[in-house]
Amino acid sequence: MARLNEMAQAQREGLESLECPVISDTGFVSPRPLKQCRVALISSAGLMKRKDENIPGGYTDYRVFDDTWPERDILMNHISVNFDRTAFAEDINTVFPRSILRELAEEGIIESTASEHYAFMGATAPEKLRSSVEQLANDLTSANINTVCLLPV
Amino acid sequence: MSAIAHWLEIAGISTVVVGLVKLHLEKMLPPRALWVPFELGRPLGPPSNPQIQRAVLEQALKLVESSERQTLADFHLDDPRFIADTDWQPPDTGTHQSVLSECTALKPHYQRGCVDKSRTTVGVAKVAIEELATLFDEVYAENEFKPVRTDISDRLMFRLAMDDLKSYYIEAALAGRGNPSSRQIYDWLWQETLLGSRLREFRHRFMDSDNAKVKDLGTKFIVPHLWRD
Repeated sequence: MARLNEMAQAQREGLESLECPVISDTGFVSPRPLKQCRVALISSAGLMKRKDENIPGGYTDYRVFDDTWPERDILMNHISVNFDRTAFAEDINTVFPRSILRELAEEGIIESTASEHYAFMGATAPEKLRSSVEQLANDLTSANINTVCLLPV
Repeated sequence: MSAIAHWLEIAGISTVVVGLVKLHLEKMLPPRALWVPFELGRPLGPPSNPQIQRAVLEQALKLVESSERQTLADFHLDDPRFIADTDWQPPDTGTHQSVLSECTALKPHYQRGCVDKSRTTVGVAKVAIEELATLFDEVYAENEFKPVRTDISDRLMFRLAMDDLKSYYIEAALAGRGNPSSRQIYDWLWQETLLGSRLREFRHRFMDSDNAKVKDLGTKFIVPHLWRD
């Protein structure tokens, strides 16, 4: 479990002492009915397409995945060894639940699923990602996406 | 990811974070977040359990209807796969003198898993597993070895090789009967396989290196906290 008191001491201490920057510039979008949400997923699992170049250390860009990109051609290239990878090996939906999101769209619970989803390399200082996030915001707006679900690992 | 949420909301995009470390959500205060009580690495919870996964995603997305800033909700179902499955048995690999030999013994298990799941997570190194196991054995024996890829450093190549070898063993372990917890699989990998034993040796060997990058590799990027000695 990710309850801190159930982790190895060194890992717990690392998470407890991790510096979390204070984000002073923030927004808050007015509530939106779920039925009007056009949703994209953003993972921090360092996902890559099988055919693509490996993700180097310090990578601050993001990788893009078509909603229909085959599951068998999505790999995890995250640098950390301190999180579970057995779940991803068994079932990609534990990390990148595109098929579940499609179900919600098919049932009309959300308006639609994005044609593209995204992945960053986690364990990266947030401030280094700022310009990539601004680019991503432009991409999402151009694609008429109004909602994202962020999925750290 | 909480920082990304803050910045995307400025751009007019509604966000929800599905977070695994509640302390970090409480510190970063994203606009809307759902804390889930699962292991790091599985924000949607148990594998092969679409009911719980869907419940997580639905509860998270419903938060975009909240008018309360910095909403932090809890997901209340625990992960049933956190509990050990006593029916599960790890692959019987026998005793081996090399990781290549151990990989060969695991191959039927790994291949069965690939067929069952129609996918494999092995492949980040972009080199055949036998070649990676051979590289691993050569490095362990401190023999000269021929670089298997010339476009990346030996250090990165070795890290990717370790990642693929671990994925190969995990998938072999998942191919059997039962629904093991991650702890069962990792206990087997780190305590009962030659790969696990040698990775733990590598950690100490690399930590003793004079090369700062190799030392860093050994310190942080080989063995998870729980199995370090």
